[in-house]
Amino acid sequence: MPVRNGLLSTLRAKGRTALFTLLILVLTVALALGLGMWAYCGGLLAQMEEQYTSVALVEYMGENYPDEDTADSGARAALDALDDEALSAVDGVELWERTQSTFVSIDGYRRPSGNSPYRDSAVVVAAITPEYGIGRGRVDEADLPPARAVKHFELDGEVKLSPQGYSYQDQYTYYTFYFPGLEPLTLPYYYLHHDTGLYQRYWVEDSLSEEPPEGAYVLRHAIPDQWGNQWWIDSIVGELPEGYDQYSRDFADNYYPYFREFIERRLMGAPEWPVYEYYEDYDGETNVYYSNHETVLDGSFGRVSSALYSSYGTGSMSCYFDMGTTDFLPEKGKLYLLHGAFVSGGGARTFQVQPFPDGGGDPWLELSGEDDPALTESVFVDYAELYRLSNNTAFLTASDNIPALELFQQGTLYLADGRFPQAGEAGVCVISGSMAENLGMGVGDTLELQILESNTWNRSDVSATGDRRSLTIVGVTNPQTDYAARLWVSAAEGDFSSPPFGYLLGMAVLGNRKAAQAAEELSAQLPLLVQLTLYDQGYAAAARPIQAMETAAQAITLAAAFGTLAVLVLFAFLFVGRQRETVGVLVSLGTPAGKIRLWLLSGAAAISGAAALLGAVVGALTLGRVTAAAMAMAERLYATDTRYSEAANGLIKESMTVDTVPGWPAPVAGAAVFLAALALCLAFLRHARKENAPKRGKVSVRVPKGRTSVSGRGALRFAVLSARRGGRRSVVVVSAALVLTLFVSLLAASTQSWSRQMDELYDSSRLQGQVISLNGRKQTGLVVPMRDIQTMWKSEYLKDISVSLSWHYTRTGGKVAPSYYDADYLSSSIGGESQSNLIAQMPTLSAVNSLSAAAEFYYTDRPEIQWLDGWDESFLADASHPSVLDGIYACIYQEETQAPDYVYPVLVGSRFLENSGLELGDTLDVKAYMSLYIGSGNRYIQSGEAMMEWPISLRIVGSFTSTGAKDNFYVPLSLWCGPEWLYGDGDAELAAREAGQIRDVDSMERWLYFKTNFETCRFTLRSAYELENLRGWLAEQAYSQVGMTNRNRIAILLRDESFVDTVGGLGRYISFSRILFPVLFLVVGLLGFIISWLTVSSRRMEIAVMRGLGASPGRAFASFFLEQAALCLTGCLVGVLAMTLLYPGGAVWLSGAGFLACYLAGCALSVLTAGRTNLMLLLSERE
Amino acid sequence: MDLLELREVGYTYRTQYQQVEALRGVSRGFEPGAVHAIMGRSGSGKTTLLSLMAGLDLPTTGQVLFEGTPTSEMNLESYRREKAAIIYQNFRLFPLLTVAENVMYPMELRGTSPKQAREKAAALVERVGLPASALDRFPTMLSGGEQQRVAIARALGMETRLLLADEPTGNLDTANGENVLTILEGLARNEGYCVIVVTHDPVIGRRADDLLELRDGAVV
Repeated sequence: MPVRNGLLSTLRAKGRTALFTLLILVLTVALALGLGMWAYCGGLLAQMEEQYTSVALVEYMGENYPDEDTADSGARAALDALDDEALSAVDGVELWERTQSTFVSIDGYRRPSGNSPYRDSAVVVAAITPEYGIGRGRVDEADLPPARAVKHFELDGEVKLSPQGYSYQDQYTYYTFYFPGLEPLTLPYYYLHHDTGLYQRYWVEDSLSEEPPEGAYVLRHAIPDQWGNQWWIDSIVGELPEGYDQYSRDFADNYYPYFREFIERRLMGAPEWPVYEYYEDYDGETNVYYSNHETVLDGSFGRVSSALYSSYGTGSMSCYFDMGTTDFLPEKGKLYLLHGAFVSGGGARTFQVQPFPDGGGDPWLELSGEDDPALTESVFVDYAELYRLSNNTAFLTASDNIPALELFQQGTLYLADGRFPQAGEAGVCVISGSMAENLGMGVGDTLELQILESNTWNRSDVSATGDRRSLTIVGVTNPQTDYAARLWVSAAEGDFSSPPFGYLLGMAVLGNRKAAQAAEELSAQLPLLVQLTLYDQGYAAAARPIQAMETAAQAITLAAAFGTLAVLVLFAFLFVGRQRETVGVLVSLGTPAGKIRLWLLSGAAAISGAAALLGAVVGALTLGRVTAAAMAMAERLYATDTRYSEAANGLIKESMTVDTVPGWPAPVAGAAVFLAALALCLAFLRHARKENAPKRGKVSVRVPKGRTSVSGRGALRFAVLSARRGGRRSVVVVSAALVLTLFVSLLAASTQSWSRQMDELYDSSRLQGQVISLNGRKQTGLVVPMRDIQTMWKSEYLKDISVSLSWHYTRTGGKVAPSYYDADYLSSSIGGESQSNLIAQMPTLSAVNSLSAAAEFYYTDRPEIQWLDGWDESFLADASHPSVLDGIYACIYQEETQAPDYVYPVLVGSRFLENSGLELGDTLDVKAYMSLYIGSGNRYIQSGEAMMEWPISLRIVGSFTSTGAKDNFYVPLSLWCGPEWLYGDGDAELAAREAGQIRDVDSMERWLYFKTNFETCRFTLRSAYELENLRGWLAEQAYSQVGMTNRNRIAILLRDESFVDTVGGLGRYISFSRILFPVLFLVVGLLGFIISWLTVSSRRMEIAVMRGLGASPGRAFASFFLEQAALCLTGCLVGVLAMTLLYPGGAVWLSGAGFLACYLAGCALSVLTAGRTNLMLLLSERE
Repeated sequence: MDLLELREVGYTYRTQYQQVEALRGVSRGFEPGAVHAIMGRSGSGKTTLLSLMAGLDLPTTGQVLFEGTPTSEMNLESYRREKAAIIYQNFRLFPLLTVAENVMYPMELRGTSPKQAREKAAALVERVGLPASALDRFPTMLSGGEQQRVAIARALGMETRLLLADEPTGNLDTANGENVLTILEGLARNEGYCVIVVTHDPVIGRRADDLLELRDGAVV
């Protein structure tokens, strides 16, 4: 009975029941959705924590960065300077470890030859038969054989000797063949172009013809012979003149069976047909004959009987022998022990005798026999062992977090089978898939290996340590050719004796959430030239919207929880606590307490239970869709364009999504709401029962303060008096207005401040970008073509471009004439390599237009510079200096014999000044080693790419504090090229290049323009507003990004991460506030209504009395509205004034006015509502 | 001549569920200079009748005539402001206004300057037997009898000839009730007010010059 009555009583209060059912339902749904999204985001972030790995690579940015085999003393010193404890202690660092790696020798493992450091080196035992080939040399006329061919020219109608040193252009070239007893036979000399199939008169332009004349001597070029050289195949067109064919018999007796064969054999250059060819030459003074085919010892044929070490096997084999640069003269029938290398050459295998790398001793030794002691103990044996070990090494890395190592973290390698060794787990390893295939091993097998020790300054120079280990394979990676000879162990297997090589000093594994902050703190601890690169696999970008959504979900949950509590309190109060009369009646009828409780609770429980259940069901059904929509919105809001940005560093994992949403939040929310409703109803039940108990004690009466006033008139007077005397009620309104005004105006001020900050950021930010290697690891030592610089400049999005290019230099005692290295010499394996190595040791002379482009200062702050009076850094951009190219051209083409007399200003290192005894203002001379293309028509060397020594005079105008290992110099860019090269019209040059041939100064310059590459390139955006345009333009031009190769292989990196982060953050705040403002003003209006309604509705009788006394509705309304307005205005004014002191600006006043308008609108509505009193009730209604 | 006349006055309360005929064909004239009592049981319609006389609404049928003019032809606000003063059982004073300001309020509604109203209020307060010190006091500081005197003073301040009182002694003790009644009698008999009092109190009925008894909305 009590339950039935309780239910009926509750349900019959339709409006109230419906209202609260709806409210509880809506709030339960909100709570379920908030909780659900919170749980979803939490789960997703937890999964991301496991899926993503953030690592910070700590690297020394040395000259050869990022070569991992370089022995750099700077890197080693920097490694020594690292404080492991301090780095490990940084918040967010889960693991800090130094790079630990070494070469090992694995039993049974044969390293793929492509990766071997001494791939071709060998120590062999060989028997050699010397053979003589054709060389070049001067020949006296008296020594000319009767049968010969002589090349000569016809110029201006006269037959001339070969005019070496003059232009070949437009000269008719002939070959004259001399044979005993016959008149010399002169034939015109033709080319047959292999690509066009057309014939051309040698050195005569516009002489192309489809068929050469009868009897022409034709060259067909570009047919490689067995040694890989480009030889000419000659032939005589048509029949030979009378007599020559007949002569063939005589000729055959002494020389060749046939004349035609003579020509072909000679020109095929077959070594078994040593013949001579003579032609006239000109050395500037006298006419001499040169032989292009002097007989010289240039090789030998023989047999390798065995090898102490050879990657081509140790068995017997036939091959050619080249003595290289040595003086070795083998004798037939003897056995030699030889050090050298197998070199490529056509189809034949050739062994070249080479000096020992350390330069000591002859690389050949005559053996007494197969049991010669040198075969077991000698420097040859040592080198054979070195090559054997070095060529079969594998690279072992030790780490307690192998999946975090760059190769794995960046996805280059992954585990194909098994698992990674755990931290501290010794005796196990992971090997590369290629190695597993090579060894025929897999998970569970055991490797036997020996730890090797590298020479301090040469990683490849290894020696055995005797430290042998057995490792069980627990994992195998994917096969990757580039990383074939690799294996990994835990740090417990580390502690190698080899000195550190390369630039990767160590790695920090970071907690994803704290990665950015930890990276910043770690960076602050790193010594000079040591840089930190954070690779988070895109975690930060992927997590940001989820974290924002999680925060929003938390706020929704919290707001829904508070809202639910408030509504449930009201619900319990109205449905239970306020049922005093019912309770009174029930008590008076002697109803037992239990039944009273049942009566009251049954209805409330039914409503709250039904609403909570329905809310939970709706929440459960909609959570998936709402979450997906919220996630999409968050992603849209946080989406940033990371094209070409440093923010997109390294591998970016696909964003994670979880299709299923958690099921528990909806039932939990429903249950929580229902239980809270029941608990509150129980609490108010006690209250309802207590209300029926008689009251005792004094009743306090509130007395307003003030005296009778006669100031003011009308409604305003009443309003002001009421406002003044309203006591707490007035204070509440003023306080509410003050707080709300502060909040709204703070938000407005913040929004204004964000907008201003954003504008300032855009105006003041100097956004920079640079060219970078495709893998993102190299910023200097690049190859950036001039044309790309000009293209970028023409985009009009850049304010400046800083570039550098450099040449090695040596100091000279005085002015020297330019000298050249023959292109043939440089292209020869030994000559080029040794010369290049020698030059590479030298310091550099860099031409830069800004120090920011200098490789030496690329990773550090600008150096301190002491300037000569009147000089500063702007001298580097001074375009007034003449280009060295002018002098070079003059020497090559215009018979100048020495470089022009010009002194370039130079910036040098302080250490150089100290060591050289020079001072600011002094001059010095250097030779720069410049490699450049020299066209035909020059008087020095064969056309092509050539290395030349160019003398340059310098005047020291500044010195910087030396930090690097070498005394590098910095000169203005105009030493090489003027600004027109960077900022000029590249298309015109391109057209010129395509149209013309390169054989004069002008075309040479054009050619050099296109061949000039810069080693570094940095640029500054014209304005930060252009950032997005630049991104679009770069994409349009198909420039590459780090890790994403595009049509243009120049990779661009924009240093925009902090700018984009800040701007993105500000933009989001502004977006939020723009969304929030209308909502906020609506809420303010609502609050205005509620607060006014609460204050005015209790005074409805006053309004009625006022109307009863004859006041018009307008006056009654005004009396109360103006009171509320006055109070609100007071609070609002105080708030706005206070905020104006902190944030001057119109936004605060505007927001204050907006607030006032909304509040007063709500207030007016509430006064109108409250004032609609039926006056007839005035007399009948009780107080 | 009657100051106020009821002519076949009827009034029906309408709700969504029912219609209640509170008054039916009530006709009566009220002369000035006398105390008229309206009596009847609860629900007899006496308060409804007083409300119609006070101009809080118009009768559903019939007319309420003031000095011969039906209230339906008058502006009710002006009527309430200038013709009919009412004294409520619960005093209905403005709690945030002082005694003086409460008394001044209707005067100000009629356009009297606050200063003049203040002076008049002081006189009226004295006239209803309250000390001058009461002028600056707030209603909550006064006793029920004092508050009712203030209510009378406010009604007097309206300077009308019709004074309507709803159970003026209902919330007062005997002594205070007697005082209020004496004031009302004085106003009617000495100053010519037409005082109409709705009451349950048979004492007032007996002391009134004229008695109108209602039963079920009709004159008995």
